[in-house]
Amino acid sequence: MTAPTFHGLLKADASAPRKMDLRLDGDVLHGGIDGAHVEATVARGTADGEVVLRVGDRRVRAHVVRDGARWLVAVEGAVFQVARVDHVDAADAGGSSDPFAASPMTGVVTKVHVRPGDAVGKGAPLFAVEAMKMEYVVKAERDVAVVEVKKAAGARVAVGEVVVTFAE
Amino acid sequence: MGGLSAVAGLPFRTVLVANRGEIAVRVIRTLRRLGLRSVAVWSDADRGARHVLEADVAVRIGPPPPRDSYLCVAAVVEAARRTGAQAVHPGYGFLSERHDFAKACEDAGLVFVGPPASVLEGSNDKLAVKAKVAAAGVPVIPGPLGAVGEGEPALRAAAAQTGYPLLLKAIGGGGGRGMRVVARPDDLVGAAESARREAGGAFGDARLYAEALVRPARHVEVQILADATGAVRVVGDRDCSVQRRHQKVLEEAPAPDLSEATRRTLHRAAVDAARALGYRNAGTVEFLVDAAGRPSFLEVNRRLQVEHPVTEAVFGLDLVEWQLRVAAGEALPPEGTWVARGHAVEARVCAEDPSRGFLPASGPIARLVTPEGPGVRVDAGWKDAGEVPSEYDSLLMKVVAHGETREAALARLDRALADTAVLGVPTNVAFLRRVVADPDFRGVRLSTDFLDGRLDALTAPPEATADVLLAVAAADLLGVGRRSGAGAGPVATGGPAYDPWRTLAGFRLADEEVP
Repeated sequence: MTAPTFHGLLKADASAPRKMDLRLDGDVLHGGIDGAHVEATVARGTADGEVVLRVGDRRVRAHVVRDGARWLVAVEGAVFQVARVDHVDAADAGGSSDPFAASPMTGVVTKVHVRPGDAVGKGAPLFAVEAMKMEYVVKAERDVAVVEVKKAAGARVAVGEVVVTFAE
Repeated sequence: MGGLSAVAGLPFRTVLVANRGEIAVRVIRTLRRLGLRSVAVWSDADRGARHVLEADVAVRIGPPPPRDSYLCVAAVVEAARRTGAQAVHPGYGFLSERHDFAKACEDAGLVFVGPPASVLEGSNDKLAVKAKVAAAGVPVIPGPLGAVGEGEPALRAAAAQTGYPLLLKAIGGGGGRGMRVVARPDDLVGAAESARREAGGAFGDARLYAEALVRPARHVEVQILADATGAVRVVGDRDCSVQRRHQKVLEEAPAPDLSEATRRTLHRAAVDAARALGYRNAGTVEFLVDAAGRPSFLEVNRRLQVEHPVTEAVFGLDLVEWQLRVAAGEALPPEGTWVARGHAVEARVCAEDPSRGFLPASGPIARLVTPEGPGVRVDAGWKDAGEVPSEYDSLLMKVVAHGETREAALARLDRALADTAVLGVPTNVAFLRRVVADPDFRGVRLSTDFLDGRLDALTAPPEATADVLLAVAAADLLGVGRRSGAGAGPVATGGPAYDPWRTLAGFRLADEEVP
């Protein structure tokens, strides 16, 4: 039986994707990350998403939740979003080319600063959302022309919900 | 009426907990230990919340907005009546310091587990409290003991008494709202206008008072318990200097590196303040301690504090039990009954994103792992998984570590935070670990402006190491943490910015998936 392998690009948060070429022989995970040799012993993998590795003399304990080709991983109290990627898109850097502005959190829209047809300069406020006693002002990440305002002041919004759309 | 509690000998059997989240879970734990029946209340946002599942009885009190549920006096009192509760524990926040709630409980024949309504009502006006405790000999921050009058001349007159920099504070307020630092005379009028506006909106009382700004200063507070016989006991002190926008981040007991003279002054002042207010039940007297070790009174918190577990760890007592006993009319044990041992530190784990200005987060938690081990206590509002509603505060859990020394407690706290995992909403755990590791924090160079100027370094997103990628590869190869039926093919990264918090609705509990 051939040993299971893991090949491909993994991208953690905003860092550059890294090329993974690993195989699991028994409990030894070994191979390369961006060509550099790595080796770890898998000490534990539990159904509820815990993985314990020995890397050299270190113990690495991770908690993992997976959705398709994406993972959320907690290691030493820090959480990372890791995804398999097959290509790297320049637009991925910050989403500033999106033809919309979305709410960064679930809450209530407290102010809308723009109207359809407005030309808005980079950095100008678009709208404000409030949740848990905190107000967050969403600003234009580039010069944009407003096409539609989908939420009025007082409306509830979910995280990621589009509030203002722009001309492409 | 229900008869005596088997364990505690208390004159009530059933206690309603008028709160949610970690504090409700924590109060229910004590009720259970004492053999008392617990009643939880819940809003529609908390239907499946941990406090609801752990109580013996749970009652819906309304829709998610706090004013329609956890802040609704009538709904909470009705829930107590319907469930046969004989006492109400208010926790902190929400209705805990509201005299009208305490009064409504008293009128309904319920024991309010906190100060009597009359004490709460008599201490709502912060400036009146300051004047009362000053008259009792408690050191207070310099400033006029009258409200700042309307108009510029009155403002200038008040400022002349404090000097610059000064602090404008809301008479009806707290939590930093209606509070402004005024560095220069030019800023005085504008600051007063905006403080009045904010105070009026938040508290329905736009009146302000002025104090000298004490800075640098440590925030040191004294835990007290007071009974109906007039006995007041000090249960040690805490340092809560590490704050961000008046919200405490780390708290510890005892306050480290205080001279015995300063500590004695603080404890005596706390007792004097409690006596001056006719205080009863558990309370906290907060002080600022300046660079020369001189304390001055800040305010009295008339409830159980978020950070009470550090005191419990050091003194080996249960403050909620003593709140219940005092509320039931029991006398406090003699002075010297509780003896401090070692040091304890608490970290507040919140659903917020430090790298985005501590933006509060809500939504599903796919997995929550709490630390355990000797000397570690976790008070959490969630277990394993759940949902963080957007309507309430962002505190998920408190991680508390106790050790023989401060260094030992901090080492345990750091390990405990490293063993904490919250997947699904961003948290401040990595930020907390950096604060705990900070050399000035380690060296007790503490002041309330500790975090100013360090936030960039403390909040930078951590870099994913090779360990993180190895763990992902291992999880993939072992089939760990996987959603069933989901393909593992590559995903494109163009288009809308990848945001797992937006798509987490797709996640389910890992342990549902793996055979």
